[in-house]
This record gives sequence, structure tokens and C-alpha cells, in this order.
Amino acid sequence: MSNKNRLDRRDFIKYLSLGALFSTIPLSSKVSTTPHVVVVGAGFAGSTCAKYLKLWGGNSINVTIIEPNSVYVSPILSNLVLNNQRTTNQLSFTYDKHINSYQINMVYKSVLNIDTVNKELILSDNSRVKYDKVILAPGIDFIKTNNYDFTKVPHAWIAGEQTNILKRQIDSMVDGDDFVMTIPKSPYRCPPGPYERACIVADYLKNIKGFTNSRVILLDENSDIIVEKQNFQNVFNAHGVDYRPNCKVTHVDDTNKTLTYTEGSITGKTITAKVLNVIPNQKAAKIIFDTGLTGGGNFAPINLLSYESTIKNDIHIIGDSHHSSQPKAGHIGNSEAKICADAVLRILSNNPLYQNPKTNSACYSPTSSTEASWLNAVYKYDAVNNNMVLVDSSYYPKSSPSSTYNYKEMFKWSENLFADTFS
Amino acid sequence: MLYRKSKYLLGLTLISSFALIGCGGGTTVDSNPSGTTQNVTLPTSFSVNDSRLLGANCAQCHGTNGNSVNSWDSIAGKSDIAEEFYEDENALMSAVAHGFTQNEVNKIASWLKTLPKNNNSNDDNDD
Repeated sequence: MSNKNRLDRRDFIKYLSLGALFSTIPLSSKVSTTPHVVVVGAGFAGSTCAKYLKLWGGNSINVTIIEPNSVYVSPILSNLVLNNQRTTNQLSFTYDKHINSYQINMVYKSVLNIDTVNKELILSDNSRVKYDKVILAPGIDFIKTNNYDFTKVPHAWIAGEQTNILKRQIDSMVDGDDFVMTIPKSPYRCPPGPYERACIVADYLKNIKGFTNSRVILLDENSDIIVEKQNFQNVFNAHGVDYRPNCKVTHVDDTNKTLTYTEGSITGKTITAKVLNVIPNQKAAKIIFDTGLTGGGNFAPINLLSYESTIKNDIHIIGDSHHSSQPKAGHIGNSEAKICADAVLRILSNNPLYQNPKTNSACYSPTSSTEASWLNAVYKYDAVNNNMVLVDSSYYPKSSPSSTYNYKEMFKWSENLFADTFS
Repeated sequence: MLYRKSKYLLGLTLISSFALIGCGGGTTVDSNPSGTTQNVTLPTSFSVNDSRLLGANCAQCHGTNGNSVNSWDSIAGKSDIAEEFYEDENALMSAVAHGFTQNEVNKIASWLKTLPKNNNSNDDNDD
């Protein structure tokens, strides 16, 4: 464990005045000395963390969320927008409950930078927000091969307008038009997601639109299907998805809708399609790099007991921007957020961190308008390597193949996950 | 069983509702999650609770503090979780259960037993 979990002298005096040597932070603390925890980004990880900070810490802390958007569109289930089973409105969430039920301050702005010396966030309007602890949950950023227009070649990997752009492009296809999508090099957000999308689109074109001459071609930079291999292979075969591994995109031509890519050792291959859905390789969000939190990698190294940066004090990173063996996804982002919220509350009240955290990942993947599969894993803390690892690598990841039963159960899962995160 | 009765309860209206732990006279505010007014009681202070932290792993599927918003079982206030944990016939629950030790399950069960059941959540306590 790093020394990040120790209070410095200034903090020690401050929290001593709060009675922090006891196991609680008292309600009677003056507002001016109540610890202020700021959560940056309010997707699955950030929203959960802010909620649970107040649920467990209550009036002993002040919590502020800084998030540029007043409405969040869930990436989870968003592939169902493409085949008319859901709309983005149905997958949209506001922060009313965070404000009204949990007394969280919402600031709808972006964070430009972090002044770690004065412990202040610098916002898009140049205003500053002081923090005692800041929790960054900013999601992902993309690594583009070249400068092209996302409205012409959408990624649809951040849900919302991008999802609807891709939806409109798919609906503009006529029989005989091709759909080509690409899968980024792992790690990326939602490991089963691209395979799921290929299944959804192929089923939609073939079985709902009735197309017999259109192709769905899937170019994967990875050497094989990285999760639920047997299930996705079966669905690819059933729906006619043309899956090609070891295909790395090198250039995107958004005018002619042409991809250039390497396939194995063969360079300079090209493919043109009516609809291109390139999901670029991914890295931590810009604020992580701007604050110097990556240590030279693409994601932020952290103490997995607290999610505190191993590089800078009092900055915690949860969700897709952090570096660990856990997948980058909403359900486990929710799980990480609770470990982080608990750890921050323990640190602020001078209690030792919990040494044996567990997180869980569960994810249903719709593979048609009537069937879904699921994938599950439980992770434990590995103190030797400061990582979260599979509890039992001979058992996990566990999966269940596509079925109509799983499709119905998927909505029960998502409703409770959404409620635990946003309600 | 955590899921056993789900198929009989599909007709339940989805009600987003809360019953949060009151840790002793905290500030109570109104929330209006889905048209029904619910009270959320915030605690006055933070208390270390390892069992609660482990049990928070249940919430994604069984609702915050064990109160499900749909026909998946609520587990707040249940007294028999530890006995049934590893034997659930639901495949996903069975998969998740594999990841927790008996000691952890006992801790989670002891915490769940203390949680208030929300009137609007699916009550499977006769299971």
C-alpha cells in the first residue's frame, strides 16, 4: 500500500478538529470544515460513487458532482436502439435523485484541469472548486487512426447522439448494402459489446428488414473473440456475420466510406461499405492525461484498495480510466465505485482500508431482438500485485448462451442496475 | 432461493423505490423516484461496516440495500440467505455465489437481516 492513505500534517490537524480520530465524522462539524468530495463524471461509476458516499457517509461529508451533461444515456442496452427494441430516451437518466434524495451538489460543467497543489478543480468557465478528495470517473477517450468525422463514421461507443447517428445510417441501407464494423484492441469499454452489436445488426438486417444480399463484416484487431467465444461464434454462423480476426484499422476515409487495414502480415487492404462503424482503440479520458495520472501508460495506475492514484495524493480514479485486470464496463464500474466510496470515507475518518474487497461483473448481451447471453466474473484483491484478479480462474468468466429466457431476464438485471446507480 | 419466485412475480409493476438505512436521526428528505413519495434518510455519520461493503455486491441485481425494483427478489430483511446462497437454481446467481467464501456470505447475511424491507419492493421473505 502506498503512503497515499496517510493523512498529511495539514489534513491531520483539520480532521483532528473534526474528531476524526474516532471512527466517525460527526454531523455537528461546521459546514466550512466538513470534508468536500468532488466526483468528476457521472456515468455508472461516478453516479454510483456519489450516491454511496452520501448513503454511507451522510451528513458527515459534502459531495459535489461535476458533469457536463444533465442527461446521461446508458451504453448498456444501447445496441437495442439499433434494432428498434429501445430508444435513447428510454435509456436516459437525470440526476434528480442525486440532488433531491442524496443532497449532492450538481455542477453541469467540464473540468479543464486540476491544481493538485492547492487542491482545486479548474472548470470550463475558469471557476475553481476546492476539494479534499476528488474522484475521477471520466470514462474513455479514443485513439483515432487519422482525423475523420465521427458523424460520418460513428463509433456509437458513447451512447446518445452517436447511437442515433448509427441507427439512422443502418436504416438508410437497402438490400445489398454492406455494414462493416471494427473491434478495438483490448482493453476497451465493454468487452462483449462489439460482438453483441454485430449480432444485433446482422439479425436486424436479415430477419427484420428481410435483406438477403447485405453483408455484416466484423474486423477484429484482437487475434480471436475475447469473450463468450462459443456463443458468439454460434450466433455469427446463424446470422451470417463474416468475422475476421487480426485486422487492424490504419486509415478511415469518411468521404468514400473506405477503411484501410492490415490483416495479419498483409498491409494496405481496403474495404468500402455503405455503413462503417469504427470503434477506435481506447485510452483514459483527457483529464487523466492532463493531470499526469497515467505514468506513461494509457490508463491510470491506482491502489486497488482505495482507487487512489499511485502518482498523486487525494485523487481517486474509478471506472474505465483506471488500470487493473477488471473489465471496463458499467456493472463493474458500479462495483468499483462502492469500494472507492467506502475507502474515501474510511480515509476521511482515519480508519484503515478494508483489505479484502470483492467486485463483480455481470453483463447481459442481447444478440437479437429476442435472445441474449450473459457473462459473469467475481474479482478479489491480490495484495502481491496490487490488482483485482479472478476469484477462481478455472471457473470464471462464467457465461450462459443466447436464449429467450436470458433476454427477458436482461431487463430485470438492467432495471435494478440502473436504479442502484441513478435512483 | 434468491430468484425462485421470480417467474410468479413478473406482473409486478416496476416501482423505483428506496428504503435506506437510517443510522440514527439523520436528515430526511423527500424523493419522488417514480411518482410515489419515498423518504431517504441519510446517516448522521459514517461507520465502518465490512459486511455492508461486501453486501453492496448484491445491489446491482437485488436493488440498493436489498430492495429490488422489479420481480427479481428483494433480499432486505431476509434471514435465510446464508443457507441458500450456494444452492440457488438461477444460473447467474449460482455463478456469482461461487465468488464468495462462506465467511463472506455469513457477513453479508448478517447485514441483510438488519435491512428494512421497502413496502413497494418484491417481498420474498416467505421463501
